[in-house]
Amino acid sequence: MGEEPRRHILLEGQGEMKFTVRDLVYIGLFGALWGALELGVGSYLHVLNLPFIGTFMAALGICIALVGRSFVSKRGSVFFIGVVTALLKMFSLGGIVLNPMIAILFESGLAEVGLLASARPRRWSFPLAGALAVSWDFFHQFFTQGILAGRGILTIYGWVLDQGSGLLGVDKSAGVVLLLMLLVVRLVIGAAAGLFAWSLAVAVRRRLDSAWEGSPREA
Amino acid sequence: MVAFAGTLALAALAPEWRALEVLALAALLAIALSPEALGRALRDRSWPFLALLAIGLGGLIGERDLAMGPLSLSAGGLAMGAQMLLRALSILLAVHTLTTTLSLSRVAGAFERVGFKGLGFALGVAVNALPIVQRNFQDVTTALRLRGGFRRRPLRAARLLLLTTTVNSVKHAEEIVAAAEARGFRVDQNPPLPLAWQKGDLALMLFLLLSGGLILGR
Repeated sequence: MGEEPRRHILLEGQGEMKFTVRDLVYIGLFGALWGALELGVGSYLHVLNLPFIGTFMAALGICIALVGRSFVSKRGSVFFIGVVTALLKMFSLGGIVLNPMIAILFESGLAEVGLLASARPRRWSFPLAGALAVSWDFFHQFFTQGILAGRGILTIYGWVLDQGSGLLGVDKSAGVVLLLMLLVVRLVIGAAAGLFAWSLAVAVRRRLDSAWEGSPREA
Repeated sequence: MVAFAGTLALAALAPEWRALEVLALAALLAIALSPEALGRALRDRSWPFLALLAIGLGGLIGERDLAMGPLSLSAGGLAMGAQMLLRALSILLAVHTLTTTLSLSRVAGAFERVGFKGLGFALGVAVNALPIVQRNFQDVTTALRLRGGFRRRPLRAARLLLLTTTVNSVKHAEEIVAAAEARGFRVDQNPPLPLAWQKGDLALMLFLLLSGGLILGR
């Protein structure tokens, strides 16, 4: 009794702000929504074997998480949604899911960093958060390859660069330019996902307001 | 969780053929903590694909100094591919050991103790809502497909799909909130699940530290 309330890592600097029951329910629901899309859309896309599937799934997932942020406008909510989705994926869906789990955690964490730029959700903060989040898809392959290949990863990259430049007849610096272009593509896709999330959030609120008009509901 | 984190760290840090020792350690931990994990890992459909990918890619990059019939491969690349395969198998085994020994509630409890207050409740909502959300998603997809939405204007249909699924999910969320509030549920009333700390856990941590030191330090 009289013990100082524990400060929660997610809410550092937020004083006594906590997630309410409503906030946690929304976080759980949006985590389930992200997880359902990973299962449904992700499986379908993998069957089609299209390129940039990871980028597209990252964009879709972070779009859902950002819409969730418009309903739970507290710092840490997007990362919380990511944690719920990652744990849901790990325990309910089976198989090798470590890769997508790591990706979901980093994407939601980076989106949270992007949202720190603004105290409240704003039209420009969503594209920034989306761009940062989807950019992880570029770095993710190096991260997982580094774990699998260990310290020899640099040797592998050197070989790939040598063979690629020899095969295409271009200077090795062209490989660096190509990598930067791939990063820029992901940043653009992420920003587009953030903008789409903003418009989707507005549309969802509009539809809910018209559905709940006249019905007693807590604000 | 300690065993999983330790195996992951060793898999990333172990140089060259020490990855074989990491795999042996992962197998030993799987047998000691959950023999079921070994069976699951062997039945996992991923490892033959991993084997083909690692060895195949490894054989195609690097200096081609190994002649195998009509094929000209890289000995260094093959060796590196095999080492990658050993690391991937160690991680696969560690993941199966983790998922067979740890329950979702214990993981949530561990997260709640480091500041993720209410994660257990949010996870519970997510687990219960997932089948409802999936069914809703499928129903809306079917409705849009029957109306020819995906044929004529696929992007608009996709937006409508996301919009409708999200709206339905939010409505479901409000029902859950109403039910929780009607029962007087409050997050701060529920302490996080206690961490089950046993004598064997300390021995396991020491064993991992010793093994890690032997694998990396030699």
